Amino acid sequence: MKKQIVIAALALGAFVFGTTNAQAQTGTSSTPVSTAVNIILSDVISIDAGSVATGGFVNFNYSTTADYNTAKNETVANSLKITSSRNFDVKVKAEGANFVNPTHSDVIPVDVLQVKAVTGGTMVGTLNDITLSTADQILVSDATLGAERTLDIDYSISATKAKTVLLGKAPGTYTQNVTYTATAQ
Amino acid sequence: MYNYFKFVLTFIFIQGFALVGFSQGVSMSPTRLFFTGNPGETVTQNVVIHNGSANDYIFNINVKDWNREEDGTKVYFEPGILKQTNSAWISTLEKNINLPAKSTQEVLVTMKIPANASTVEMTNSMLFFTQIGKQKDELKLDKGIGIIALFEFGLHVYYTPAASNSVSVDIISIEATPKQVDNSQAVAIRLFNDGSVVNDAAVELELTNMDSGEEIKLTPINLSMMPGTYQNITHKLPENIKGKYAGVIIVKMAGSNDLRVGEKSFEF
Repeated sequence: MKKQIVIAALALGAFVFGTTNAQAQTGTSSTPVSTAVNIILSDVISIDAGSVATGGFVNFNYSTTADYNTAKNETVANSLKITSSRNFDVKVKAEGANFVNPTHSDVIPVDVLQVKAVTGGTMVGTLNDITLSTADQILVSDATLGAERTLDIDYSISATKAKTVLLGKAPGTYTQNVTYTATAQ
Repeated sequence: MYNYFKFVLTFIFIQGFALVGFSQGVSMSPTRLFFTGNPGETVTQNVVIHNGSANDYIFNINVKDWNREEDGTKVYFEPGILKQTNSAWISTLEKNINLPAKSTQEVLVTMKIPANASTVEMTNSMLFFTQIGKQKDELKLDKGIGIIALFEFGLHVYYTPAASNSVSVDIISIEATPKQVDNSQAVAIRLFNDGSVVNDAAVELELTNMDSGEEIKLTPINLSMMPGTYQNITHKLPENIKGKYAGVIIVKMAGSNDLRVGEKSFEF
């Protein structure tokens, strides 16, 4: 470890000495010159690939009678990780009106699902609880700008919906795309 | 000395890690496009989409109308619905873009300003870059419901007539809102954009206790308003605030040194 420290010290010393020396040469051999340093900033917004909402999955499994008699919820930490240079909003919508299964005609309306922005992440704004639909709905409004703002999302299906809507549907997997939209305020 | 070098090495490591971390998302820049020009002209701007992740993505490009409700909420509509729409003026070379891992693409956005476009009224629309789910995005689930989560960016697109340059906002009202059941209190401010361009403003509220002289500066609220629109904002007050206060509202507008100042006395 001591050896590494010595090497680091020598490297740093060489850098500082070299820089000082170079300035001295410039000053003695010619007229000092100045360089304008421009820092050009552009508005930017990004969704981190670590977010679950980048082709990630959230699953609700119903395989026993108990499943149909209880509310289920899945809280997904860091569902969204957003960097933005301006305050921003996050909206959510389903791509279609129903969860569908490619092998049969039964469908499940997307409004069985509640989507709720919950505290726990670093995203600061007005957090909302919505019933999923094909319309754009505000999940987070006026979120404060910043780097890697994380949002935890709670997905839930009530016991009532499970008993009245899910029970009786043909067995299988029903899926739907859910899109999160980030826009600058 | 040992601690100093340990600190320096740790700092360098953390900085390096942070920079790598920032580059791992999908980003869009800028977040708003402001076009200007005369009726009949065609103008263009680039949008840069960067994929710093290890995954390939496909995005569909589509456009919608939108407006802002008085609480600041953006509401989207099918293209061509709203009076101030410019959805039909916007085009891109491709409707879908492939964005391989670790790649950057410039998307050229073209606006054809119609010959009969207004020379005084702004128009707007929102250009969306919507991730398309791929074949491999299939669920590993026997029975149940599965959600495939995708993402989308919305890019504001504005057209400002060449002669429009008035940056102005008017303070319409300043009111203390009734105390809520949780005892929280607030001051509501209503504004009107009486200029001719989009107004990005920061609204500050300073309160001075008339007895003690104590000053409270609340965090400014940022807003963006289209010309001819109203917006209501609410400054939440600190808990347990009580007494007589002199309130000063300061509206600072981007692109102008002009301020708007309003005053009001409150008793909380």
